[in-house]
Amino acid sequence: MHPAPDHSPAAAAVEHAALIAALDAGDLAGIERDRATSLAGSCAGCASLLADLAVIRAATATLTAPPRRRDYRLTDADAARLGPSAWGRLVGWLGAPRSTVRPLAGGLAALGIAGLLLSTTPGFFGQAASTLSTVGAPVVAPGDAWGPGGTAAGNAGLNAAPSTAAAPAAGATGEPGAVSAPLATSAPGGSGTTPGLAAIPAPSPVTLEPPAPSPAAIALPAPGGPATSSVLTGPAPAASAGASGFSTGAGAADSGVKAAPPEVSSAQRAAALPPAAEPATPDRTLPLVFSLALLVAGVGLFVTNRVLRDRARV
Amino acid sequence: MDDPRPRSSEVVTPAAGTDDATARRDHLLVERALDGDLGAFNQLVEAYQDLCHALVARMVPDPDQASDAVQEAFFSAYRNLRSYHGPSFRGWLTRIAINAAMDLQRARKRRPVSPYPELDDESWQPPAGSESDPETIATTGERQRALVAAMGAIAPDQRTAIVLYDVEGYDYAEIAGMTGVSLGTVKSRIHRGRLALRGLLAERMELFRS
Repeated sequence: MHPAPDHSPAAAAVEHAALIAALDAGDLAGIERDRATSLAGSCAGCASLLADLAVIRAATATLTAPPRRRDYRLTDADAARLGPSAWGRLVGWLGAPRSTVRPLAGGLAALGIAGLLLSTTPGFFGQAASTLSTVGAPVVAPGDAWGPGGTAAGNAGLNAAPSTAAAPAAGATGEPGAVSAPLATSAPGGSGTTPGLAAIPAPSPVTLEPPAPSPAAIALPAPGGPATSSVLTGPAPAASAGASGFSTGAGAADSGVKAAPPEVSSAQRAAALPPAAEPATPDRTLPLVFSLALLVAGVGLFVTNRVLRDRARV
Repeated sequence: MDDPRPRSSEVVTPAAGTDDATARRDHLLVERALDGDLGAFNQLVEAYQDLCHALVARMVPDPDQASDAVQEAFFSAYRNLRSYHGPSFRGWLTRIAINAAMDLQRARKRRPVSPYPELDDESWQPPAGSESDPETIATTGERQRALVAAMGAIAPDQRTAIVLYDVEGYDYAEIAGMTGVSLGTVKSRIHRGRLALRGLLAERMELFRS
């Protein structure tokens, strides 16, 4: 229920004053403007009010302000106090329109997508693993070389590349009869008195030089114990070199023969050796998780930048 | 009826070329300030502190509170400089100053102070016009004091609307946007404020008519 309209003189005066003020401001149009204009023409008080309002409006337009008494420049202490916190700086950087957030987000997302694609591609990591096992094959080859099939490998090693890591170990069994027999007579301190050895020409300086120790030479003769200095001493290198015509590599092979006597069974040698590397089954969990994390980080950065920029616009 | 008040384009907007140069300068200074150059920000303060002070001092009668409001406005501008995205640093800063003044007036409602103490300080005189005869200067000074006193006596929201409309030259829509009220409320505040001024100045209207 609406209250009854107030027709008192006071209420009418208030209404008339509001009408005149609106007329003075130029905010009336149509019937309201005609009514206010007629009111100003017929009512002395309204006319006076209209004139006074025009004068006041003109005066307020030239209203002066008291002079400034303070210098509002900021001091270093103010700047330090008002400076953004670490969190504020981070948010500011994340929301800045021309910051490096978007390129960084794009880069992270691209890396993540690429990583996901590569890690889920069949054969990508498998190919890499088989390549690695092939490269590591010479390391485990001696394990096979001790066995019956190792003779052929040993021969191949002797004939092809005596300087390779496989060659010395292969040479240890490459010529079991020819190499181990002289060693059995000369190694314990013999001075080359056996007929076989007497016929051997004097060792050349090349064959007497100690072989450069290689990691393979150290690591390979595991079954019979560590490699000893017998590689460099005694007539074994000379005999070996003379018999086979090979140089230091053959000497290293002889040491392998001493360290791993041939009477040890092939099965024991194989058991003592580290297991042969098999084609590894690639573990894709880590690259998958890492790629997914990169993708999520990139998308998160992008979304955060977008949200903060939209908020800043508002 | 003619509107004698200066429009915003006449009052606050310089020539277009000057405006562009000012905007470019402000933009460069803002960029430098964002890079941590406090001197660049202080150059902006120097450029706009008179403008902000004049605006806020008309809205906030107490000069100390007005100065505090202006200082707070510059603090706020420094704090939120990263949220400035153009186009006009002047407009952005003016809005911050107006908000600071309105916040202060809301707080002042709870703790009223005597407005415009410099009215009692005869050392302060409003700037004289082109007429320099003593009688004109005295009349102008008296008129200004009366008007300033009356402005300090009306409601803060009415005073803010009148200052923004009559003095600063903003239109209704701009004031509505700045103060967060409707267009009709802005008009109503201006009308009621002028009527209140007329009621306060009724005894001294001869000063304004002369």
